[in-house]
Amino acid sequence: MKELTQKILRSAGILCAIGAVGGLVIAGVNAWTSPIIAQNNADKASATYKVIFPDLTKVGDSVSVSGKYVSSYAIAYKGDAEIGRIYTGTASYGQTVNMKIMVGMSTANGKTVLGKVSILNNGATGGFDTTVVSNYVTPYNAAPSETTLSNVKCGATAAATAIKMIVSEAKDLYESGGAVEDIDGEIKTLFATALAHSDGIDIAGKTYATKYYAVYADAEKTNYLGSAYRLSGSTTDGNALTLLGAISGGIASPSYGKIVSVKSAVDLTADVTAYNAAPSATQFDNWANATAGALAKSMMAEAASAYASGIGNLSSEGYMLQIYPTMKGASDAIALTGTTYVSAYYVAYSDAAKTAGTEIGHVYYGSGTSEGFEPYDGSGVHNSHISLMVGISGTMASPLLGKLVLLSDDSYDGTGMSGDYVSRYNNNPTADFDTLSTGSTYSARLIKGILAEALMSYKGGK
Amino acid sequence: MDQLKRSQHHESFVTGIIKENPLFVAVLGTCPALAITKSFEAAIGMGILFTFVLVCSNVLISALRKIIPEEVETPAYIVVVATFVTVVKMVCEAFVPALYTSLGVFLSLLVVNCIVLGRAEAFANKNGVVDSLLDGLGNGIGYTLALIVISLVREILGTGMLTFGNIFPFLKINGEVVALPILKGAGWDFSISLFAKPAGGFIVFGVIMAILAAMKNSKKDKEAAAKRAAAYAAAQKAREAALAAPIAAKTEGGVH
Repeated sequence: MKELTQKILRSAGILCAIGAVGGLVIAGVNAWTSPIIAQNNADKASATYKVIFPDLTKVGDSVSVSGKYVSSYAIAYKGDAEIGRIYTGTASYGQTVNMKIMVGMSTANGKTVLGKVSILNNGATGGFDTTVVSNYVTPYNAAPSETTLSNVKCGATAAATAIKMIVSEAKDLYESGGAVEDIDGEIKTLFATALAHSDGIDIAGKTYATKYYAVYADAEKTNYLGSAYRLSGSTTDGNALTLLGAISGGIASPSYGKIVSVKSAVDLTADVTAYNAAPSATQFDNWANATAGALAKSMMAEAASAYASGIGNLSSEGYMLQIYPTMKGASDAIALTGTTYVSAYYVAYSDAAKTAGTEIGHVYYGSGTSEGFEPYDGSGVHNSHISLMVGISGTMASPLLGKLVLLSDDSYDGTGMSGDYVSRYNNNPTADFDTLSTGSTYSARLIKGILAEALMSYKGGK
Repeated sequence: MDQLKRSQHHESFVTGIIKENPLFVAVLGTCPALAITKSFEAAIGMGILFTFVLVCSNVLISALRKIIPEEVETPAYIVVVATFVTVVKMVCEAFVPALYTSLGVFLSLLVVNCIVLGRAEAFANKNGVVDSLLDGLGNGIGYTLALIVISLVREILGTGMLTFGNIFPFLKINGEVVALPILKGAGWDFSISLFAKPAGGFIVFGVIMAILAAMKNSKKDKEAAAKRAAAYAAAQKAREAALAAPIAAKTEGGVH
């Protein structure tokens, strides 16, 4: 027994001794290499920051954010001036796991400027790691923009999509000033009865408006309330401001709704509260911060103008504007009876007062369900449900088919199937819709049926 | 006696390089071999670090072989190997960070590499320090050569070129990574990206193994044929001798 104990103690002692010597060696090497490793990491981080902002002279402390993908950001300085922010995020998509990147965001002329991307951990596998760099990150970094960001079909789609998700969130975070934006809460502030809203839809070519959200009073998104416009700009004294502003009502005189200050270099709480008590264009003139008031006024004027021209306006009038861009007013919906598909029509006017003689044409609202189509994939019979608006003008004897706008379409084979036909139709409107192309025949026949009925109604003076 | 020792040292060193190559003959350490052979430079780096760990652990285990009790041999070996791997990891991260990033988890996994532990148990704890050092060196060189062969094929076929300087900065020329186009040029590209992917590693490894097996079988066949020929010649000679004996007896009788 004593021998066994001694044996065990000896074995344990030797093991401990080997472990202790090993530990000492590791501690010594660690003491030698850790400063070098720390310096390497600092150099690497600095090189990464320099890729994103070549002009930066220092980077602030990392600030944690609780985004879905973005975990932190740091402010980049040139001297003492902030030149942008560097966001770090990780995303997984498809086969790509833990794609970790840094991306820069800055502001120019009041608009967010997408910065370069630097990959910290390439989570793509099996050769896609190099493909995503050569086919996506390199072209994006050569010209960072929403377009190059969207070109995810590059041969490494999953990895590119993971990067895009991080960059998009970083942009939203930047525009919201750093914190994760509670878009649902903000929209609720703008429209108290809102129950649903669309995703943010980009707006191009405007000075301030970058995006809009269509807001609905019901979860099915049939009862449109108005739109919330994201507006970004800089005051004359250099303060960046991002607002979310509500616009609703008719196109003849869009109503100014409430606003939310998403990001502001100065505190606008009092001014925004006062404005929201009774929203109107003139309210901005009373702002204590006059430069911010002037900017906010210009921003909301642009939003109202966009709404009046159909941009971001998903009301009936908004859709009708897509058919008759010169329309200034429209009648209320006039119900039709005895029809299968077309249930109502509107009269479009070139005059906001809707005076007689300024009619441009009619716009018919139709909807229906197509014949059953049984695809080869065994998913069973599929009926397409389509609703649309179509313009008809000219005389009753020889009516002219105008453009049509799809309001909803669940045609088999994915989104846009019928949309492709509509694009072709709109280039040269014809009643013979199903001759435009082969495929999706039943949807085309349904649309043709709606057009035929609309034409018949027009000929009948309705 | 000295000659015997020298012969043993020579045997210890040479065996692991070709005759008992750890990767191509013993088929050990295949996982890191397939994972890190996408690039020639990474393969060389892995080979050097692997050789260092193997030599050091072999030497120390051999030196301690009479002290370490049999009951705790394996844990003691793991502690020794883990110490060297950790040291190598830290030094690599400090001085060749690109190699450290490139090897990733496979550097840490050297702790449980079957070649390292296998040589410790099969050789170092039964042989002297010099032989163990030479055994480690031979096996390390053998493994490195095997990695180099696979990586050369994979990098050239997978990317169409051979690059230097991505991992070892001193290989750069004028601060630029050197890329030698072999299967790629302006307007033409015969590279097959599959070889840069894990599946390509398996294919290359399999083909090399097949070639080596064919060579081995061919050598065996030749040896067997030579043996058969020698046996046949010996039998023929014996037959001829048996036939010639009575004639000779007769001839001798005639003389008398």
